[in-house]
Amino acid sequence: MMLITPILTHLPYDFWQMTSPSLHPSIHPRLAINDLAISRGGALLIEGLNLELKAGQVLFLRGANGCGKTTLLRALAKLIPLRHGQYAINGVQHKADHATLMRQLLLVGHRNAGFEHLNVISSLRLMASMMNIETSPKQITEQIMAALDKMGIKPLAERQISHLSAGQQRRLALARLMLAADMTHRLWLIDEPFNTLDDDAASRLCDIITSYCNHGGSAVISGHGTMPLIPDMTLTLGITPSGELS
Amino acid sequence: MRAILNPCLAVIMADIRASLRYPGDVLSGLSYFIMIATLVPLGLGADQAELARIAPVMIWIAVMLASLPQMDRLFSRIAKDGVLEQMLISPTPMTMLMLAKIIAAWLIIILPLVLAAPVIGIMFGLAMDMLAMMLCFLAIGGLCLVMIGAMAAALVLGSRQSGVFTAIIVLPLSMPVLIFGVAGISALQSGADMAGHMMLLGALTLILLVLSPPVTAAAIRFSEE
Repeated sequence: MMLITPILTHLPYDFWQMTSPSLHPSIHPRLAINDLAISRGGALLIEGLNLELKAGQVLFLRGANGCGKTTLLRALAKLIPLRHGQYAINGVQHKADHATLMRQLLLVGHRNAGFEHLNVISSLRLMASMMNIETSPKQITEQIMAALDKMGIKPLAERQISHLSAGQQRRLALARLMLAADMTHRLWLIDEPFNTLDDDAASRLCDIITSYCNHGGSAVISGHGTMPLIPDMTLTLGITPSGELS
Repeated sequence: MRAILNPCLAVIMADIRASLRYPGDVLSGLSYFIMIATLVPLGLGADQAELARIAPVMIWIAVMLASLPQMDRLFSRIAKDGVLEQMLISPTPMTMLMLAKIIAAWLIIILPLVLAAPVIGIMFGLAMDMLAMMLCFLAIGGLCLVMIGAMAAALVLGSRQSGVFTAIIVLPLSMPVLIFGVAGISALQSGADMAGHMMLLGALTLILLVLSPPVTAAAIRFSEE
């Protein structure tokens, strides 16, 4: 039913072994999915999914609209209940303690999670706090500015979220990933990141993901067509509307 | 502990900061409150004794009506832009984040009304020494109203006629608040013992404090599914 072709997997991970905390990440794969089935509104979208994502690998979910890419991503963030099967992130089972599991992942969903009535910095500060990034207020401001710089929206730091364009808001959502860029144990779940991005932002994002993976991080990314750049460490999972996996 | 406290403080600060930047909602609530409280005496005529008698009811109804539209919007905006989704996947328990949201809503929606209430009280000819006690009733009862409102807003999240449903859910649940609140202030006026009413209102607050945050969190989790 399912066929996944790993093209190339390992990258040198001596760097992240020094930096990544807890839970023996060297023993467990970043993401292990076992016989997973997810349904949505009564329709079975994904069935019999088995998968293992090692540190440094990217999983690219490819498929037509409505085939279940977003559903799978949201299910991995425990926002949607599983119909069958289980998964573990860094060896933490999905049935484990909520806080422990949530510390293993970061989700950038369809919605950008910019707090409409705040400016860019305040909104990201709220997000950092909810992601449990514990640093001093001064340090977090520096981290936020660095993240904005990485996504090329540093000049917009004081701007109101509601005054940003769709693409700028998307960049802001992706800047959230950079706040935790040194926590390479966190699995990035990114829903169709390339949709509203211009070429500049797309190439910035590719650089960010590539560098994250080079340091032992992993990501699950959904999208259409082919994944721009980063080909040599990507697993591609095609999902057809009838739930077939390839 | 810090992993719970800091995000909660951040949620409260973000809400306060946003409402300071866009005070429109707060001001419209406040103007409703003042409008109701000024129009009723105008319509009733200037019978001082009559006004003082209906003052407690008037003030409570004005608080309820002025806060209701804002309760309805408590989650709709952050649901639309995805902040709520991020709250759900935060390592901090959703229940605690909802408690923070309730505290923030009390500070933003109820506190301005409580602060405006003495002015209305004087207009209605309430004695000065009663005002402080009345503020206590309003503050505690207001917390009840916010907690009921939060549950209702979470339950109707995503429905198109959310305003109607919020009203339908909130009004019957807030009856006890109205009854004990009015009875308390009336007892205060007539010089009777009002401790009983205050205790009942306090008990109601405690029950809701245990009930409302988890119910709100669960309702939001369902709506985001």
